[in-house]
Amino acid sequence: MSQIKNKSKEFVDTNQIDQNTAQSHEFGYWKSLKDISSSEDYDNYLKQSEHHEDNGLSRRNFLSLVAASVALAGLEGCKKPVQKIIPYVEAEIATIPGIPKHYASTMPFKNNALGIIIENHDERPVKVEGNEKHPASMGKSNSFSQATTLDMYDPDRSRGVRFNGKKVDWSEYIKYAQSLNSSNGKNLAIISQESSSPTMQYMHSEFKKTYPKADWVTYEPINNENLYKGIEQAFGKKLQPFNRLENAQTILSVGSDFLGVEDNCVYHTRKFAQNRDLEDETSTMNRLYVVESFMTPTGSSADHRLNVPNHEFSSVLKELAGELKKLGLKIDASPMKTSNHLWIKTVAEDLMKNKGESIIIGGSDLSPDIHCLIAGINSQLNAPIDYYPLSSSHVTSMTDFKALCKKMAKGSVDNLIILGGNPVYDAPADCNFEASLKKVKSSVHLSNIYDETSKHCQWNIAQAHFFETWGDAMTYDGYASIIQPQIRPLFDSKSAIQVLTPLVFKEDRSSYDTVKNVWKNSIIKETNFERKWEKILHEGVHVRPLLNSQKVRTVNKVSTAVLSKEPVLENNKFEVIFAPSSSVYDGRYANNGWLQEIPKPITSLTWDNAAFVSMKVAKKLNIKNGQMIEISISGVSIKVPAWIVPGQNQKTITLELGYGREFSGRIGSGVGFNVYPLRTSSNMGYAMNAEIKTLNETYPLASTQEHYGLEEDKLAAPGFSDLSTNEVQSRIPDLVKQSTLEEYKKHPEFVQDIVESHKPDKKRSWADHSMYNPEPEYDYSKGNQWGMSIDLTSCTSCNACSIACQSENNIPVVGKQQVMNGREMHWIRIDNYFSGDPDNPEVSTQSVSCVHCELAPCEQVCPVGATTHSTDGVNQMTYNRCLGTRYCANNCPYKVRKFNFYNYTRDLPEVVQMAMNPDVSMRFRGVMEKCTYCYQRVSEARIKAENENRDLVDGDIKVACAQSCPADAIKFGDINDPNSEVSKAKRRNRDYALLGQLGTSPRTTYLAKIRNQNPKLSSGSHQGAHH
Amino acid sequence: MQLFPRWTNNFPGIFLIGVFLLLFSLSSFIWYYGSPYYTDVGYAPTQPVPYSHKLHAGDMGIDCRYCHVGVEQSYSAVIPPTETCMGCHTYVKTDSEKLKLVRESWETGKPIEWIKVHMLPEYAYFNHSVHVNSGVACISCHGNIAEMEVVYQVKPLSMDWCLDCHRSDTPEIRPKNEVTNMYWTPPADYDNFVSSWVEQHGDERPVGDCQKCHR
Repeated sequence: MSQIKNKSKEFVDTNQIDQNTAQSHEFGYWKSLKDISSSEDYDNYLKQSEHHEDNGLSRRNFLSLVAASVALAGLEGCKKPVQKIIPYVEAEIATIPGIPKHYASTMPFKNNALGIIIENHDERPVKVEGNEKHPASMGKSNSFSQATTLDMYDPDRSRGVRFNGKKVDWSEYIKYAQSLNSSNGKNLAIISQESSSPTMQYMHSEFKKTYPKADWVTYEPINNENLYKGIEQAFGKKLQPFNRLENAQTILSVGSDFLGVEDNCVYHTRKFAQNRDLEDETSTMNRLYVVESFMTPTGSSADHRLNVPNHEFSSVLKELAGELKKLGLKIDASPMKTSNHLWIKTVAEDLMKNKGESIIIGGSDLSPDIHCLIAGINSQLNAPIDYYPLSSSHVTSMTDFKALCKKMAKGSVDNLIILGGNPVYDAPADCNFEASLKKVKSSVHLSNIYDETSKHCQWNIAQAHFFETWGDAMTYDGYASIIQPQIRPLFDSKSAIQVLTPLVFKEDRSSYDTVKNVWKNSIIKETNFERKWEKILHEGVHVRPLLNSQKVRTVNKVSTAVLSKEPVLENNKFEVIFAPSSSVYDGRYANNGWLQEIPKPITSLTWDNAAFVSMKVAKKLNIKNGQMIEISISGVSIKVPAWIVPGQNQKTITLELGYGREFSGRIGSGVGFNVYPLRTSSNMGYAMNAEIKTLNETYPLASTQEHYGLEEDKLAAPGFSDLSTNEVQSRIPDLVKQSTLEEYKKHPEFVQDIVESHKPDKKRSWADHSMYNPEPEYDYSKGNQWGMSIDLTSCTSCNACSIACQSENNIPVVGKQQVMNGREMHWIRIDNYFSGDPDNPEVSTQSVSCVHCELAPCEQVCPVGATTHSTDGVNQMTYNRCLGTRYCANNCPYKVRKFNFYNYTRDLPEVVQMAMNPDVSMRFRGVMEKCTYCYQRVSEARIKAENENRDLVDGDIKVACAQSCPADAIKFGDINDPNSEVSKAKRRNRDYALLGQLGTSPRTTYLAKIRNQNPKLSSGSHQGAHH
Repeated sequence: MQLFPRWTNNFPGIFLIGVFLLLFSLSSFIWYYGSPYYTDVGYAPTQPVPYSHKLHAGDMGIDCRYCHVGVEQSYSAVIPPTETCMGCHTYVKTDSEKLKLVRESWETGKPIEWIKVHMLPEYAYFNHSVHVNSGVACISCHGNIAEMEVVYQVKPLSMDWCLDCHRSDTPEIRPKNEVTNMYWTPPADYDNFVSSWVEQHGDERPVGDCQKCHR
């Protein structure tokens, strides 16, 4: 701890620019940039300008509306309405209404697959969970797979088949498709999305046989093409690398957000966290170095982070290669010395020390030559990477895509079939896709929603969600699994396989037949096919992988000579990074309210994208938070609001893709700013020499970073005094306790020491200090007592828990205006704390939801007994009793209670209501809500055990957040069972209670964050990291 | 000097009438919300098919679980599908006028819309299986269905009524194999049975556990 304080002090001393402000505020920890700025800075830059948005409902109007509805409610309430029970006509085999069914399926994501289990209530899929038997998900999931349920029930999805805007029958399309069957497919082209489906591959090869002259192009706006090209350059063939992070002790990420939005993140996070699971001070943990230009979840999880702009990555690698050569690797490189020398040298030594267990991961937007060098160094380091064969029809080829665009522009494509995707919106600007598409005589667009591309296509076919159709997908390492439909298509929609069927087979076939035939003929190939097929459907994965890992040898000697010349950044110009959004990815999730409203990691922005700028740039260019700026690259310019972000490089502006869509989606239309116009095929990852102009306009951005702050709560502070900035900052280390591995080894009891130091009288127990009822209501030593443990060391702030909670507990979406009013409803919020240099801070993330205090302050103040304690130690919230005084929320030191200011769910379309979990009440206006420890799951398991006449065992109950957490940081269970996972976690010496000094005895406790810092860097890391 | 206008002389009278009205409305409020009219005791809607529980469950002695298949496993006891009716009525009373709607439903695939008799508020999550498996008999909440021509609500189904049983030292329980028996009489050693049951289940009876039902 003292080490971190020293470091901050050192930063203050060395940071020349901030010298003046630092004198008045000596800072260690801070939550947002305003905490470490002078009031002048705050007013000038950080404070968002005021916006008066008329939400169309004045207070007076609102009150009169309320009065009217109360009057109506009074009349209605006299008699219960007649309710009907509508049973089945024919009994469904093995179905008892009320018992949810679980089916294994697969979520296809680009050319990867995530095995999932889907919970169905009364034949409606309502919740996604990871499939424990699937090797890529291992029972875990991410925010996209959790939120996909809402995509399925999107009322804006397109319906049926349309030709020139008129609804036509599917058979019309079949006739059209069959008519294409002349002249070997000349002037016919298909654009498909990336996919790993064996059936799609079969369809592709059959298509090629039937239409040898046709084009088949695979395109995704965010793709790994450069990575594959680099590997081809290094090893002579295109291969899919598979990072076996479970075997990696030293990891260097060069611009890769492998724990965040990059591919295979669930696997990466799971295996990365596995090696950070510290039993006690004698355990070992891996070490993560990150070189990046803007703060990502990976960068925030790093033990050491170097802040370098993207275009300088090649010189970092050159220097690293030089160092590695010195240490004995066979690399053709010359020694270099830049200001980052100490950092790079230390990394090189660490990589060499753990040779065979060290790995370098390059970001997908790096150029092929950098990937080639990384692949070469990795092979020299004997890095734990497996390489698998890659089918080129599965992955994006920009060359093919550009060639097709040219062909279309010339008018030599008559028929174009676009299988999903939205190229008009997301194609590189220089492809002029929209203009080219207009030259195509007849075009078909398969899309889930009527979007930018659909507008220009004659045929619009509604695309089936993967909950509605048969299909298959495969992981990078060849584990194939089947996509099993959960429900009949809601909107008469079709899958890509079905759209291709009339072209390939000359007749309509069900996707079930097509998929099953492919599996019969080319995957299972056994006599007892039916039994095998049933087993794979049941388990959710084919246990025998279809691919074998390939031995690789570098074609040429590993050399830094492969690197192309580093681009030069002109004075007063910036590099602009196009980053996939953690919420909407490339734009595909734009109409998903859960994802739009989830606060993004680090920035906590919701409902918008922004241009991320560093504090220093903001000062220099006089940019305020939320101020519109104009970014121009070679003549093209866009306007985006700016957001000042810690850890942002001064030469870099980061833009998130996927926003500013113009389509008929009521959630996502017009949200944020479209940055694709700046993106061309030559700078898909980042663009150089962008000019920035500060505009005299502002735009409201909704960030939740300063909402529900624990560190600012005066009541929870000793002495009830007004808190100065210093006091606020000094409280953060008590909230998120952390240390380095080295310190932890020296002082294994450091957490307990801090806790002890807070005790006013060390002889007495915590309960004696509580200002509330000192006697717990019940005897908590008996029966099942629920508790939770959250490991801060492995949490990467990926948001999977928060969305899983939203899906499980019917948490409403409130909209941007309400978020700006601080009324977001997420039961789990992720707090970000920063420490040290604002240009390269250390980030600590902490997910906080109700901690279920045994001596709960909220319960003492509820005038109607709506929040009470249960015998099994859960702080309960009874919605039907709550009358909305909000006393409980005011008295909660953890700030975890959320209030329904409006009746957010009243106007939910019927389709969206189908996505709701029937085991949890929908909350009305004026009702408080918060985490219940997923009590519906506790009840379900308890009743099941009682019916089976047995006791509950550990693992019977998986709460939604713990179930989804890809880092497995959350443990839930019975704390009275000494062998439960949660008891084991709570016995670790890192265990501490948040705000433990209040004597509330929370049931959710945290395991302190440990950073595995390299002693060689930890004293001077900030000097080294300065750039 | 006349400080108040003349009509204020009526104030005591108005005041008395007001107090009377207030007391009247208060007592009628309490009377109404406690009465069977509000709790729906005696609610006996006319069902689309005049199904007689007295005939089937009483006279013919068909077990409740023959139709209500979910009662031991699910929160819902389950209203049987048309197929269950047709299992017998394909052979028995095939041209009865009363069964017209059942046959229609079977032919057209359109479900029969039964009227719900026992209604709980949607924020109360009642589970049949855990009660039945613990030995709470059907008759305890539903009354003697075997003698009802038309099913009606017998108990108030209010929270107070739930808790009366849950907090009682002599809860309404019996051996599990007797739960559907409408004419069961407690054996001589019933007191022993109850006390051993309470010993076994006592801890699990919700006293202040709101969330066991409201979630």
